[in-house]
Amino acid sequence: MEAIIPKVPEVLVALASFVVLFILLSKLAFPPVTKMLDERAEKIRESLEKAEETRVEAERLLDEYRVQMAEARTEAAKVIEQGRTVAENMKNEIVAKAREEAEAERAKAIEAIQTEKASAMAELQASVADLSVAVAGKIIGQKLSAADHAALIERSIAEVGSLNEN
Amino acid sequence: MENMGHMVEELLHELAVLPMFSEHIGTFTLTNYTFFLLIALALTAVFFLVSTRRLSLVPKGVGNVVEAGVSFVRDGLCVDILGSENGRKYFPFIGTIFFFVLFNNLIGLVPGALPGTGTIGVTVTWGIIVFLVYNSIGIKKNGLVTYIKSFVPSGTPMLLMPLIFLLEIVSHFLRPITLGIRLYANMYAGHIMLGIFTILVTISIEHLTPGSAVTGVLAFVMRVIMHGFEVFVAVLQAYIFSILTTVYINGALHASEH
Amino acid sequence: MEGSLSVLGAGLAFGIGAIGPAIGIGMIGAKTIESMARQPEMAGKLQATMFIALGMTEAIALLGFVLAFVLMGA
Repeated sequence: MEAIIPKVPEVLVALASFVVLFILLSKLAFPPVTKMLDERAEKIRESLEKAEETRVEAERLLDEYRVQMAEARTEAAKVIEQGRTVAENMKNEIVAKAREEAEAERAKAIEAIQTEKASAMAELQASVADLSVAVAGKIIGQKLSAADHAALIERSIAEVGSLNEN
Repeated sequence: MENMGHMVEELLHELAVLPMFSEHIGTFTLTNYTFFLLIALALTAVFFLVSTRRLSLVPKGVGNVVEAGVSFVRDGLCVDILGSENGRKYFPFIGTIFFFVLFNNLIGLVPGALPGTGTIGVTVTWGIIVFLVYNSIGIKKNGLVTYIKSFVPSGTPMLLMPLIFLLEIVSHFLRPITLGIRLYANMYAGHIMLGIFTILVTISIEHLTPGSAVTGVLAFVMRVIMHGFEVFVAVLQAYIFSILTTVYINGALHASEH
Repeated sequence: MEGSLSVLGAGLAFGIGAIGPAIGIGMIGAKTIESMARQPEMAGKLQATMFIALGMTEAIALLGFVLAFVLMGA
């Protein structure tokens, strides 16, 4: 029974020491600690918020750069495409011009040949006529009248002409 | 066995409440328990006053321990049960209880020392302090009439009202007693248990035979394990004492709601 | 002889008185663990509630403890 009856001295000491400690701790010890804890919580919250802000900003910048990059890429593609078209055109032009020139050259050459051929032909006809007359005169030994002469030439020319046509 | 009986008696005598010094002022004496209570008081005060002088935003050293303890009681106990505003308001009281009980419990585990909480005079006194505090909080918050009315839940049949009221009053008056006895009994019983294991070791060394050597070694191992367990009990009892205080305060604050 | 009888009574008072709370505390612990396993996110609140229930159950054992001391002195 005795062990569970509180002793008065103990009660007094317990009461007094509790009151003393309560005053000491609540006035001197707890406020700095709780203040520090709250400050730290605040600080951490702020840091987290700041980090979040920075992250959002970075993401925004990244997106911006991405858009810019894509724009630059299309721009470059466009420039290249343009260059290609220009070059293509230029090439086509050059080729066409060259072809034209070659054509002209050829035409000129053909014309020259044609003229040459015609003159040669004419010359040939003349000499063939003269030659034939001379040969015929020699063979026949008689002089042909001017009329006969002309008729003979005509016939010969016709013959040579038909020859030439073949 | 005769020997053991003597030793147990001696142990119980050691753990009984005795005057620490022969001098006394009037009838007032410092008992063996209150002597260590005062040492625990000094230790708690010095520890908190010294360690809270130089706190930094980045915690280090002792400041870390103090902050962890304070944050455990304030955020894990007060704020959790009472809510943010009331938790902060009543934290100094609950924190004082927790740390004082904890230091008292732990100092008893130093060989040769006794826990300040190992005597019923101290623990029941604190129980009564808690009782007075939570009731005055309830009265201040709700007004005396509402607070007393709240002992009977609304919707109780008229006939049952006196009975319920009586039961509630009894349960309220039992609170400080159970609060005190729980703490005292745990500390006291823990020390008796540790003492008994020590006696077993002592006896088996004094009458050394092969058989007693085995007992001695086993008892010694148990003694060491139990000492560790008592550290756990010391923390747990401080926690239970303060969590029940918090719950009682919470009940007083919300008395008008049920 | 009378003294030893009262000691016996004290032992019985606490011993028998502790049976109920012991079972109760076991059930509290078991149910708390079960609930924690079911809802780990509630573990903190459950633990606090567990200690409160533990304290109330333990109070009954403490009455036996007090009774034991009272009987021992008788």
